[in-house]
Parts: sequence; C-alpha cells; structure tokens
Amino acid sequence: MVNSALTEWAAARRALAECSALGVVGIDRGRGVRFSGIVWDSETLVTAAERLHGADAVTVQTVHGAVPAEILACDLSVDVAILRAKTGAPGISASKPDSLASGDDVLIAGRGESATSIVWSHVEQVGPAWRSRTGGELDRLIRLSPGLHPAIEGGGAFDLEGRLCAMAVRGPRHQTLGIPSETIERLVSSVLQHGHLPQPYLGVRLQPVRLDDALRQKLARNGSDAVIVVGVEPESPAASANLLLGDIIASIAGRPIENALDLKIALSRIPLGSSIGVQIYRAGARLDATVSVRERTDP
Amino acid sequence: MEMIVAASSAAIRRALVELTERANFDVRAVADDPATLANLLERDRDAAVVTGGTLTLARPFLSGARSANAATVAVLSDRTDSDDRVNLSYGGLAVLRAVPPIERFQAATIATHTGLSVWDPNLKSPEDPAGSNESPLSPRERTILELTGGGQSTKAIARRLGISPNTVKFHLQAAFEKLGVTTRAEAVMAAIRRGELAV
Repeated sequence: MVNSALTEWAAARRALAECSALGVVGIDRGRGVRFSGIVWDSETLVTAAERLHGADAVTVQTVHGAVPAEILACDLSVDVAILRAKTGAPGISASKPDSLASGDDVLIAGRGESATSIVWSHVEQVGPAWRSRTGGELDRLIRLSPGLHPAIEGGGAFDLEGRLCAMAVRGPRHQTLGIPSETIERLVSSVLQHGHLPQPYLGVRLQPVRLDDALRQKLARNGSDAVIVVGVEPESPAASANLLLGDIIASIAGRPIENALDLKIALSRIPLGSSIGVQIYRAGARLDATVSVRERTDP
Repeated sequence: MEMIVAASSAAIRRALVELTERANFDVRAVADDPATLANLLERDRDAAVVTGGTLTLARPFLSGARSANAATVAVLSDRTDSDDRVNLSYGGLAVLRAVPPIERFQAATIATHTGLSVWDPNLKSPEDPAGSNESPLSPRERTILELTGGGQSTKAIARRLGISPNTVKFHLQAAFEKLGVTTRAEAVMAAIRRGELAV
C-alpha cells in the first residue's frame, strides 16, 4: 500500500533540497579547509567571516565547477564575509525572518568539494536583536539545532518556502547560530555601495567613567555608566566638531551611549557623510554638537 | 672560558671575581680602570669582560669592551629604563640583574661569546610598564589593529605597511598578549574599550 501523503511530503522535501542546493557553494581556502557560502546574487557570495578571515583569495565550488573569488569584506563583529565571484547561479531570495518561530523546520544547505550537503534542522529559539562578544549587532537571535558540521558552516538556512532566513554558523559550546538575512542584507548593500566594509569613524578614544548621583540628576540621565573622551585624533570628525578631552559622550543620533561598544554600534548604523547630533557633558553641563561621520583615513 | 673582571670599586671587583669563579670560568685578569682593561684586551683578544655595579659605574668599561669587540657581561645593581635597553642591546653583550643565579650567569656568558645579545627581564623598573599586562600598545600594534578592525587580511596589512606577513603576525601576537585576548576581533574590541583605539 502506498501512502500518498508521505510520498508527496518526501517529494516536496526533496524539491526544496534541490532548489536550496542551487543557492549555496563550497568554499576552499586551501590546506583542506572547506566550508560553505550562500549565493546572494549572480556575482556576490556571503559566508562565515570567522572561517574566511585571514585568507587572501579562495576558490568557490559551484554546481558547475570551481571559480575564483575575491574577498570584498570580512566583518568579524557579525561573522559575515562578502565575496565577489561569477558563479552564474541566480542567487537566493531572502525572507524577513520575522515569520520565523521556535520549532520551525529549516533546511541547512552547504556544499562540499563535489556534492551538496543538506541537513534538516529546527529553529530552537528566536529572540530580539542582540550583540555579539566581538562588538556587532545582529537584528535577531536565531538558534538552530546544535552540532553543525564544519563543512556546511556558512551555508544557508532555508524555510519551507525555499527562502533564505539565515546563514548557519557555529557558536560556542556546539551551538548553531543563524545570522539573520536582514543583517546580511544590510551589510551586503553597504559593501556593494562602497566596494569595501565602510567603517564610520568619529576619531575619539574612550574610557569608561561612572557618573555620580548628583551629576546624573542634574543631567536627567538614568544609568551611571558613561564614556569619557581620553583622546581626539587630529583632523578627525570629532576634532572638527571641537570635541575635547574630558567630554562625556551622552548620546549620538539619539542613541544613548554607555560604553565604547554602544558608540561603535551606533556609528555602524549611520550612513557615511551624514551629519549627526552628539550630546556631550562638558564641565557638568549638557552641550550639543554636530559631527559629520566619515571613514578613517589610512593610518 | 677566560674572563677579565673590570670595575673601579674594589668591592664590586671582589663580588664579580667570586661570581665568575663560582661559575667555573677562569679569571685571567682584573682591571680597575678602562685604560687597564683596554691594555688587557689588546693582549688577550678572546677573553670576555665581566663588569658591574650601577650602570653609571659600568658604562666606561662597557664602551671600552665594545670598542675592543669583546664579549661582555654586565651585572647591574640598579634598575634600567627602556632607553638603556635600546642602548645596551647589541651582539656580544649580556645585561643581568645582580645577583644572578649561577646558571643564568653561565648561560649569558656563553651566549655573549657566540655574539648574542642578552637582556635580563628582571631589570625592568617598577615604573616601566613594558611587559606588564597594562602596557600600552605600540604605535605599530595600534596601526595593525586598526587595519584588522577593517577586516583586512594579514597579507593585505603587510602590503599596506610594507612589512612581511610574519612581522604583522608578530605584532598582532604581542598585542594579543598585552590585551589578554586570543582572536583579532576580541583584540580590536579590547583595544577600543581600553581607550587605545579610536572609534
């Protein structure tokens, strides 16, 4: 007796696997180190920055054979690297992972040297935006079934509609994390616009400082953690805005700043060349300044 | 190995002779001023020089030994700063902190004989932060971390700075140790938190 529901289910799963396989590549950085990547569009690939970092050039294995790839950007803070390679593949379609919920089935696709690797996985947890230990902001927490094989790290996690919802990477303690497609999207569009990973720069060196209660009340500030400027680089945006040693940076573009990481993340969301408001505390008084954010010039 | 003990103070000379003999080296002669040392070195070109005391006392003997190209061990009683270290880092000179353990003295003496430069890590002065965990990054380390933060590969950084990839790795490793981290991404974050890198 043939169970047609099961057969159809299996056929649908297989179709999904075959379709997802076209959206991923294998990445070979030499010396037997292989992992996977996602075909973002016909000329752009994304993969796990942690795995790619330090490499100068890599070879990409597609369904049609091997092609060389050029590394455009490697952002360790969110573990996303962007490569340019003419794969001839059509590229994936990305979904906003806000449709994703705990318990959902996803398919993780990657590619080895000569064949596609597919594993079925579950979404274990979906949460709000979070910060990585390395100073990046991810738009959403996505935790997938633990124990990802290294060869498919950097591969895509696809939903049942065949849309990319995340890149699968290995986290600490055998966890599998999903780098949300919207985080990748944000980075890819910024890198393609500038040709490299733009690093918005203010030009201040900071150290943590604790505000005492009296000052907090005077300035109507909630937390006591803040950062104080201990260096202003010459000819930097901060220098042009006349920021001084000893200034406390209270907020930037309306985002409160409590530590250096806050500032780094706030800056990463600001388009290069735009002027933004910075609120500072100087000599116990509030002061507003405007800075024009640009990239760091070569050291 | 044949040694010439050179120091202007009798007490230092005695201490150095004792140290040299305990190390089973042969004390060929003793010099109490740089001119005597120069004469002795003229006659005995293979002998190594042992001097000591404070750096100020040892300096004339050090320069005499250096101009005669003799292997030299300086056993210093005072602490030194980083400028001293730069001035005293040349092949054939060992600088040790008094009083060195015999094995250290022996090893250093043999090393100078083969033309190596030896610097005792105990010579750091307390206010000299080099080597401590809180030591500031060097300008080179800072530059390399800035470039690393931009996601550049070791080779790309090396090309940019006109140095070898191994030198880049060396500087990164030194920065990791100072910052107490093991990866590049952590190093960049730690340097920003410590106020060493600008954002």
